[in-house]
Amino acid sequence: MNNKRGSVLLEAIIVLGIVILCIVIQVETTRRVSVGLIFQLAAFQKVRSEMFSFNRFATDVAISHLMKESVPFLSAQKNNMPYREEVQVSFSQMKLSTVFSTKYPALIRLQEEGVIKKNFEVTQVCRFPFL
Amino acid sequence: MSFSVLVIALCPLFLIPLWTHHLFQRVYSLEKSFIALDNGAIILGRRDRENFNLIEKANMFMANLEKLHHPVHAAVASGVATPAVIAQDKLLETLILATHKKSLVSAQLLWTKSFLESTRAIQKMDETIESKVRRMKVPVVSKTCPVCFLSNRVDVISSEVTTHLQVENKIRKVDVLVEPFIKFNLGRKEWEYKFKEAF
Repeated sequence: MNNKRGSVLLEAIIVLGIVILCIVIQVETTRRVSVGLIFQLAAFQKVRSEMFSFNRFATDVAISHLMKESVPFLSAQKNNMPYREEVQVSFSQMKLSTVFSTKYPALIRLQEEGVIKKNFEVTQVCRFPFL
Repeated sequence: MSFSVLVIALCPLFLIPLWTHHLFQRVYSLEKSFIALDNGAIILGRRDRENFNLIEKANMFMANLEKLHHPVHAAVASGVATPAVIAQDKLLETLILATHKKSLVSAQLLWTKSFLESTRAIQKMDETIESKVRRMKVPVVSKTCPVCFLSNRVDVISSEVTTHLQVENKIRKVDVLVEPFIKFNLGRKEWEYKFKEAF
């Protein structure tokens, strides 16, 4: 009787562990994908705004609003700069691109090239599609 | 541990592709709306620029004809003109009036056509225009010469040339203002266009 109860408890602990692991993987993957997509959208909006000479301040405000709404955990970080943006304009080569990048603490620490990575780094580049 | 319990426990993992694909679809549809809107706005801006530049060209042509017409008209009005001069006066007047009429009609046609082309460009990308603020009639006004009382000039009302295009998207509405404006190039009046964000 006791042995059976113990095995059920063990099974429950194992299943609970797997469920928690699944949830963590799911949260991490969704987070990673959403950051990548939102950064891509932000880079697209920025490069479009630069191309059409829209108001830079208004675009920055719109992008900041988009970031706050879509990836709020980035804005909740301790540092004041949740993301870096970089506009690269080179009209001589007809090149206009925007780079958005960030670094945020990972839930799962993975080992890459012998080093345990504590942060995820996301960099998205958008070139203007007409050029 | 039974296999079914393990599968149930792993179930959330199978949902990841669905959720991430849903996210991707939303961003993709928004960017597609932006690109469709930009394509439509670029076509509209270019066509409007061509249209207004054609009007300016016709105005210059009519102004040059008027320079020839005024002395001839003065001679005819004085009553000492020969039949040849009277015929020349009539010919110049007809030419000015025809150019004026052609300018007005072609301006209206191009104004309508440019908007249809822009709408088609937007619809080509499976997007629908939610609203558009654009006059049905081309914003021009006819001017009459105070000397010979001929309609010899078509002026564009620059305060009414702006078009507001808006495309409906699942996430939000995207819109842009297409604003033609006058630019002076070496003293010559030329029309250009620019885009503005609508708030």
